[in-house]
Amino acid sequence: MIQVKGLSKVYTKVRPKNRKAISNHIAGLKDVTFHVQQGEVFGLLGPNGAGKTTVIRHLMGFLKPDVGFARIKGLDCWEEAKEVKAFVGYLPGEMNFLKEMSGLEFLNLMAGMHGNRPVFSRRRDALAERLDLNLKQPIKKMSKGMKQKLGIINTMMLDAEVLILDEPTSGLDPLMQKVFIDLVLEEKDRGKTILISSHMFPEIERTCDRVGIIRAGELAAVEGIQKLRQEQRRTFEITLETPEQAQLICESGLKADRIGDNQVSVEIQGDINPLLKVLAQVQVKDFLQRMTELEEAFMQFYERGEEVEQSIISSHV
Amino acid sequence: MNRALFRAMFKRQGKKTCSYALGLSLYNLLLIGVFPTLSQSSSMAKLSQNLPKLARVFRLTSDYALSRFESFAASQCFGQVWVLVMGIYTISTANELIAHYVSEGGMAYLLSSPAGRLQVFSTQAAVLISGLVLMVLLTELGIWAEAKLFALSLAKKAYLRLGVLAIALFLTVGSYSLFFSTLFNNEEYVILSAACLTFTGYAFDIFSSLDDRFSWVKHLTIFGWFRPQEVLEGDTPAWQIVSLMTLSAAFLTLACYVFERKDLCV
Repeated sequence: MIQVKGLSKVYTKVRPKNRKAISNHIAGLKDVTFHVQQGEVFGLLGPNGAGKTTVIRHLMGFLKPDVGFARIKGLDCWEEAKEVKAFVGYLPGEMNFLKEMSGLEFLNLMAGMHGNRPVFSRRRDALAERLDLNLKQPIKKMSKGMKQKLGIINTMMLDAEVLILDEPTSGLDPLMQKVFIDLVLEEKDRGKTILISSHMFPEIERTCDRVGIIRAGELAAVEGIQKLRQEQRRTFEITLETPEQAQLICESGLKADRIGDNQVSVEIQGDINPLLKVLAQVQVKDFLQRMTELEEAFMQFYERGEEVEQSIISSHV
Repeated sequence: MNRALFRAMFKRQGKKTCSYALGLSLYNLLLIGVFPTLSQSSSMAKLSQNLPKLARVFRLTSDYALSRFESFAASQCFGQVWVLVMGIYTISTANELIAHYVSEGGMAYLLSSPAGRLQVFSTQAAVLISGLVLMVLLTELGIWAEAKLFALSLAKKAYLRLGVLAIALFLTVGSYSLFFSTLFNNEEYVILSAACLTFTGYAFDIFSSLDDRFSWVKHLTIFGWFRPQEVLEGDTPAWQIVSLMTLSAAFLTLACYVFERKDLCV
């Protein structure tokens, strides 16, 4: 359904601040390739400035690729941008609406620009009720979270085959984040193809089938969520009754480090059973996982990337 | 053109257009109110005779300017304040319709629809053109109503010709402002470049009327084609209107070309 192949983009700074700089070009994307099957939810994970929004801007036909292509349903997103938009619902990362309007006026405008089908108003009202948003309120008086809800309603009411959501839960409270996750899962059940860009791990973990981890404009990995969970390491911080018990864990053959007198940090790759067997022999006072599994996988990919970069720098020096 | 977008944008611009037109009408009301006093004042006539260069700057080019309302209105309103107000209105509207939405990100919503860039651009251009027509229409209607109030007779056809010439002139200003609006991502650059071009052109026109030696300068600016006094005194500015319309069409085509092919970080 969504196909991105060899996508590269170089931004040119018109006025480089540092005039002695060797180049005034900044790499936006480097050879990004991935695909999203029909009915699949695909997550793009990466920190700010990694290139997630740039990928999405290519998919929406706002940017022309220097190399490679982005296609949706076989249509080129730049050359056939107008046709592509007929079956795409888009939630931009920045909630900058036409501020002079009320929420309802804005949604009516967007419905009108998409052909004003009767289903739009039905879905609009149902979504507004579910997300608890007063549409008659002027947009300029809305809080960030309310604007985000309005953006979600706009995207979902169009009942598009493909949904492209750029940081969809930013500004939403935990209750509304859950409502949003439910909405995405319902759309998934209805066979929609969804691409979500985010740095919020829980929403990616709960909604996505596969995740692309993007770093400095490059796609570091594309993995299935289940596979990521199984294969990636997890770190646990365990507080024990006595220092001797902490020593016992360190000597058990697990990858463990002492972080206090009776505290250890244990790193597990894959199967958790060996840790549970050791813990059965000691008395545990506290047990916590340092980061969520996906977050941990994400950090691992980043560390790998940084190690590679360091080795390249050292070899040049 | 996209009807839903046009309606929404015109509604938004309509308020601004009506405020500008109301301001101009009040100014015209003031002019009409003081005209009978000024036209009978001998000191004003002496002033234009003793300080001819200053009189030219204020478009008081002949005694005739004070003896007929058309000439007075042409010199005091259409030659000065009106041009400046229309210039500001046109530049700010052209900036708001494209560059403002691109720089603040709202354009992402408009371009996420199947309308496409060409349709979005042509709708925004249509909003600007409609606003200009409405401004000219409201100004002329205001003058007509005020003249009725003060029982002054108006040369209606001459005002109509002036209206068409004014629309052509500000359509040119609007079309190059839209071009800058599509060219630059930064709103400041758009306003700066469009304002520089417009108000330098206007200054050139005033400079050219200071002395016959500088009269050639008026050929460097589109404002040289806008002579309200001559039009209100009976001239038909046919070639000026055609030239300005051609220039507008060229700039609009160029602006559309840039907007369709430009990378938009929205």
